Amino acid sequence: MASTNAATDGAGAQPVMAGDVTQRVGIEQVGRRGVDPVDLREKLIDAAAAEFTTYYYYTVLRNFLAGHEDYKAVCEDARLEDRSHFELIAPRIYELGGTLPFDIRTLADRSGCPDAHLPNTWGGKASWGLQPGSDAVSPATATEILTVLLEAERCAIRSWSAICDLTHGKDYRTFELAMRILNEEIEHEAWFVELLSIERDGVGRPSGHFKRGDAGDAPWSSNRPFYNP
Amino acid sequence: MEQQSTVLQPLTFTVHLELPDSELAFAARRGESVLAGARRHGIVLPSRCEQGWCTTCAARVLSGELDHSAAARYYESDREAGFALICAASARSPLRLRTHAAAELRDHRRRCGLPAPRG
Repeated sequence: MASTNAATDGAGAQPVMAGDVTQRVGIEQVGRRGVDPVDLREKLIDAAAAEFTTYYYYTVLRNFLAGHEDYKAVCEDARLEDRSHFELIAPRIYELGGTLPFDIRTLADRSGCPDAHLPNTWGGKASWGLQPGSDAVSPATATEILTVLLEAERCAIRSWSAICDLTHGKDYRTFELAMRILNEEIEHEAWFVELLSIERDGVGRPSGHFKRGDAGDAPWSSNRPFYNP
Repeated sequence: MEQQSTVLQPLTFTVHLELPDSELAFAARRGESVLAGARRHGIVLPSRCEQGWCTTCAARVLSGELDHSAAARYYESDREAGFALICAASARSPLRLRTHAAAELRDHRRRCGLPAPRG
């Protein structure tokens, strides 16, 4: 009778021999449960790249929400938590035998989500101010910026949901990390739905949340930190 | 007296979709993305970024023309190879598309040395 125990049967990768440091049981077990570890780690790199680039672009976006201090504060929470997501998932890429790209331009190109450019900057190519050397002035309304923030969060939700689907019941460690990130991305979407709805449409659609206790608290992704205390 | 002429533009285009195990058709409104039009008709297609960047929504263009001006990242070589990013492309004519072509587009992008995100 065929074994159905994925942890001990002979399906998939070659078993790791005692004392062999060229193989990892942590990878072998993922492969035996039906997840291609190479494909997974490449997806994680692309998702990590999206978190990193979002952290950068939110740094820009929050600065152009002048006069909306509450929006700025919420954008800041999302920005810092996206950085926590990058830091939470990066070690897993190495555990699976991969690496972050050595060139940051490669990382940005690999991002699974678009650059969250400040609106009306010709895809980020505009320099600040209207004349060379002039002060930076906002080219975008709060509604336009909140729209960018909302769609960035939605891309993140779809990305981490796909990784949860891929790893559920098969790669417990990646699933648990991705699930923590997904929880916060869903909260971020709720924040920006609330803010955009009231700013653009004058309609209150509560997120159900209050502001984080501390900026970028990351209650899910840093509550039991691996490497980002 | 000068005679005025008016060119009437169609308000919708028929989009035929070849899915992995079936075929469907619907009327896409001028200016809306193919993905949005499909959704209005209850057709669920793969997508992720929904801004014409990640390639998850890629389709093969079997016939017709699309407007990709709203796509965040769509290369000339994508067009030359017959790919569309339907989350951010609208119909300019009646279309026939084969959906679920993300893996093909990513292979094409890699051969061309262009970004091909997977996740």
